[in-house]
Amino acid sequence: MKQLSQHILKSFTLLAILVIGFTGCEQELNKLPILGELESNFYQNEEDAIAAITAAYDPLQYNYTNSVYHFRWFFGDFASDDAIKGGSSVADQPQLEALSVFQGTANNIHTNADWTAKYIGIYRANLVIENVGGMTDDQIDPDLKSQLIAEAYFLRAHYYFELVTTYGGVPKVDKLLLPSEYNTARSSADEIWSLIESDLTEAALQLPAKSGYNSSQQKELH
Amino acid sequence: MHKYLYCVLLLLASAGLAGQTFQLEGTILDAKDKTPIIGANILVDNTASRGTVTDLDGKFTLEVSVNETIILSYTGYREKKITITDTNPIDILLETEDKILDEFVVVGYGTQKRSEINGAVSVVLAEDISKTANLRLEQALQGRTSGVQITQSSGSPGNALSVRIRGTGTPLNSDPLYIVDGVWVDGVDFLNPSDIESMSVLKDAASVAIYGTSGANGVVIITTKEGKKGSKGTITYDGYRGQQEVARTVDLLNAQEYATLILEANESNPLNIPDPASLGEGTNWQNEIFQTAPIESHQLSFLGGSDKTTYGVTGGYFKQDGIVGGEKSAFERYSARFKGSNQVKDWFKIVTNVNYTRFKRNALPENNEFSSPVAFALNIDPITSVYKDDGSFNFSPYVVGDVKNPVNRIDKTYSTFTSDRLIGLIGQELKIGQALTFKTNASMDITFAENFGFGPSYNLDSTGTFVHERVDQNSVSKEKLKWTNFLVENLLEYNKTFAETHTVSALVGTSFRERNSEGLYVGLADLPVNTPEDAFIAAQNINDGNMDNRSIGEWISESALLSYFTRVNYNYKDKYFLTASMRRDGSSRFGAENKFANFPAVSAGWLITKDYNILKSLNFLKLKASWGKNGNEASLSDYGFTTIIDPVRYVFGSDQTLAVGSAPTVPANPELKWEVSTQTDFGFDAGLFNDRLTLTVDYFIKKTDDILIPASILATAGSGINGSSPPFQNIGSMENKGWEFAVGYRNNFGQLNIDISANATFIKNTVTGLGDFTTPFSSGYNQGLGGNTTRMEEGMPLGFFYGYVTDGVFENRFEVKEYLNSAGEEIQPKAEAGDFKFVDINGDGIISDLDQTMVGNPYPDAVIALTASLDYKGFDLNIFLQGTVGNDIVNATTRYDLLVSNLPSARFNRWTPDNIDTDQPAMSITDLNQNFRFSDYFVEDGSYLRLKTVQLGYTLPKSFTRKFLVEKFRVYISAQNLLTFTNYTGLDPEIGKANPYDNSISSNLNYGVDRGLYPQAKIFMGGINIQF
Repeated sequence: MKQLSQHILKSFTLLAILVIGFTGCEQELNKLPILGELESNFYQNEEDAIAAITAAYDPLQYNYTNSVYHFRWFFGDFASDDAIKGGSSVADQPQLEALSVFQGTANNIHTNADWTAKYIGIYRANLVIENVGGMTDDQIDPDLKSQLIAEAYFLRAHYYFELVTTYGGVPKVDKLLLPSEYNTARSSADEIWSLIESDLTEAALQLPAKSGYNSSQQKELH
Repeated sequence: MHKYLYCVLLLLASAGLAGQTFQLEGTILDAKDKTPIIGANILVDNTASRGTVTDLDGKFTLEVSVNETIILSYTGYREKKITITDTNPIDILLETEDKILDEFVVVGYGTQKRSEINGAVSVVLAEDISKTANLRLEQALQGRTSGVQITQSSGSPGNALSVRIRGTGTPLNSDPLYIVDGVWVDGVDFLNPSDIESMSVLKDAASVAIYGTSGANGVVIITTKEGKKGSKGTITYDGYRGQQEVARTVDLLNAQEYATLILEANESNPLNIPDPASLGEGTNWQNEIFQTAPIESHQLSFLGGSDKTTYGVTGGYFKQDGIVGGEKSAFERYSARFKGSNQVKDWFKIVTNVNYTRFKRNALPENNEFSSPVAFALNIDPITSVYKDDGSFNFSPYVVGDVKNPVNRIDKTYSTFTSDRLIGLIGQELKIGQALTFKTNASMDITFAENFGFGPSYNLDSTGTFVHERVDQNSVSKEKLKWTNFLVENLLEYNKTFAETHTVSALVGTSFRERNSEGLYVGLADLPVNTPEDAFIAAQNINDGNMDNRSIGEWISESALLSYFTRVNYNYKDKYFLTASMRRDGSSRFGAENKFANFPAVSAGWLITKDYNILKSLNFLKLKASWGKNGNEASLSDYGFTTIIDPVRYVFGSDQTLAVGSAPTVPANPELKWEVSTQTDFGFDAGLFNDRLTLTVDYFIKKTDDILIPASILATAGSGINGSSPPFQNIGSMENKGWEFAVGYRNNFGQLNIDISANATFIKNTVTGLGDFTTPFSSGYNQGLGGNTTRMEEGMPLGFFYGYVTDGVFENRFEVKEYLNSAGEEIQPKAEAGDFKFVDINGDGIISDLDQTMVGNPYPDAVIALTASLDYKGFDLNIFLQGTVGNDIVNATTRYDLLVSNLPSARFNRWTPDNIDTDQPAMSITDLNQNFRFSDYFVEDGSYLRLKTVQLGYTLPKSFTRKFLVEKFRVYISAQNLLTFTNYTGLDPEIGKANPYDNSISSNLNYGVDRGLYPQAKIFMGGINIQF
């Protein structure tokens, strides 16, 4: 009987070790990426803010997104008399053929790629507007801050301009979205134009004149 | 006088013997044929220390005393308990196991008697596995159990099979969880099939719920071979050698037919195709790429045990060359394994397990129209010869672009994956009193792997006219990978029977799993050397040359899973059974709000035949029902709830300043949560005619909700930048429901033993929701067909084929003019005689994108299998048939977009003014009607029935072999994939997803699409099993 009680004692000790030992493991569930800088640690200083606005300019140069080309002239020239698609037959690049005969759908790979590139630009502009906008005076010079935000407003207007002139009304995303908000309904072209107008007005108020930049600071739209 | 004396002595002896020990002599015999059972285990009840084993004649001696109980056991026989009387010597008969009732089955965290299980659990045993020569472990499961569909989508040596337990439960990772001797492993390619003692397939939610988040796709628990306690040691050699060849080839146009058709399409002949009359058969490219290839396997195993220890030591070697490319697509595996246990004290046992495997796989690109040699062989023209007159590789001057000379392509491919995997486990079992056991397992699974690739530079047309067979820059790449899996589990078990009627077994446990993967990649181009042996990274100074010639990458990823679980089994008089379990899982892959989730399950069973005698012949009938919830996070990448900042580059200003910007590549999703599958199961197990006929039937409904999908289509989120995966979200739901039937029959007629089993599974898959997503997911992109072929859409099966519907070929111009819409306009104004008539599905009067509809389902209505084993006087015959019914295949092997690729023979019957009654459209270079856009024309019936294995063996009589100390000597000949019955016209109807290793949504939606897959080989082999 003494042996049994010792066994029970042993088993409870083990159970205690087991539970205590594993409670410690719960901290092991807080795993964060090892390589790279976390978004939550970013937007801390002027350098971060400038890098963020640079990233918002970056999609301006996109014409090959997700392994699919989406040059502006696909949508302008092919869908008009300016150019014919060419190729060996209509089966050569059928998705471009669809654009040139006005049969491009929402699933067309070229419009999809174009759309994706523009909204990446809008997302990055929104990141600057919200995150740089949230930086304190300790972190960033207030003049630089308002200049960068104004640039972001301008870029957002530009991306929407390209969208609205190609597709008409598109979903209006003027803030950072949570996944549950991704499915945004299509806005009317008028709503998009008024967003462009208000963004450009905002930008114009804050941006310095061209002479206010030295040449290395000058940013151009390609 | 002698007789009387005897009687008196016996009386005295029996009186005196009570409580005294004596030497019991006994013989253990098979109850049926009275042959001695060698190596049977005899133990005095409740003592591990007193026991023995029978010898070659089935005899044993053991010191016992009267009224003690001895337990006799031997694998395959029902355990017997005998109370010692003074009878000495004794003959003991053991009866073969009553399979359904007494078989012990490995279940989650324990074992249960077959009759106690309320869920749907199928078992495959070593004896089933040994009936076919299995190249991979998954093959040993194929067709053996109902509810499991295993598809070998590639015949490339070493390629994985797709395993689906109760259908495809989620659009991403639907692979089951594999547990090998207590270690959770990713993939089972390291295991040698003949090392397996048993495999339990847990299918229903209640059986897998104890694995919580990892159980939604089903669980396969694998136990490897080990000696039995107190058994005689055995030395076994298993080996086979064989030859493989292609099972069938596709009928394509020969050179003359090809030239005729291409010239018919384009009379102006810009390609200078020779006069068909001057051509003969030409090159049969399939004959040029397919070859015979050897296969061999050898394994030595040593199993045994004493009264306190058990061990199993095995070593194996396996090598298979490919029927395409031979050594260029070969798989080679070395494996070594030790498994042992030691009862250190009556109350304490340790277990250890070490497994080391090295494998090397050379691979060719497969199932891809841009790179696979098989796809090239089906598309390159038959006029071109393999070699030029000078013996060097030739190029096609007609089929240019993506299609290359496949023989040259094989020659120039150097791709090797080498993996060293070490799995180790230590564990303990501590008995605390009679009812409690405390168990711990700690294991580590480490893989070091290397990917090597080399692409030489070459130029087949030195005149420079044709550049498609020209690579200017050679390249080498090396990738070093490391995966580690650490798992520690603690279990406290309680078993007790109260008042001989209430049996309770309970367990509580904890589990912690940590996984880590990391890799380093270096790729260099434009090396000074052009041979793979010299093409190592150091061959070129990494700082030399320009940035474009090198690529370097690195990644590290970690995850952890922490779990608490409990289960209670209760049974009343072995008649009523109840099980309830709960698991609480926490995963590092979710944000703080959603880390933990609970997964409950209950199941119940009623053994009717204990209460009622329904039918005289019905000896066993058990009704079962179960319900449970499982999770799935296997699809998810490690840090989806957060995101990191990645650099981007942009050039500013007139002085072209390069600026480095920073932005998150993927938006974070802090709302991420568990994918949950809920499953309900009803079924019964029945045994008739003393279990000669057995039947298991299950019906299940499995619903998956909050499916984890990287939702790329929502561009508005700002995601989906080049190369990065879009953020995971919980989107949509899916349902799989179906029936499973398994029937078995075994009997013996004199010396002829028959064992037949068959099973069939009927599953219907439906995507029941896509959440807020109004646009379906599309996949199965195919260049030849100019777009996507499959979709995921609400109300439809996952990855159904989506295309146009044809209604024959217009015989003449009048038929085109008569095909009018309600406004009286031609529906196909661009069509000519000989073009396809497309059906205006939506009735809007024109043929457009909106006329696409479901044209096929990649998933079968039924998966069927039949196994038959017969043995007669040492001869044994095993036959295994497997097949599917009602699935479709997209035959996308032909590059119609190129207009000049070779074509299936059926195209020779194309429409011409002289041949208007045909289902094949005319040849046309302009093809204004887009005849070859994806339609039902490309969808074929994928049903098949395949004679997977037929094996004939002969075992020499024991009485003869024992003279040479040989316990068993069996030789056999075997053929795999000998016959396939199918209407599919491609190389092989067994088609799964695009790439079995790829669990992306596009790969899983790309199911049943043949883009030039690597067909399975027909294999003839001979083998030997010798056991000492």
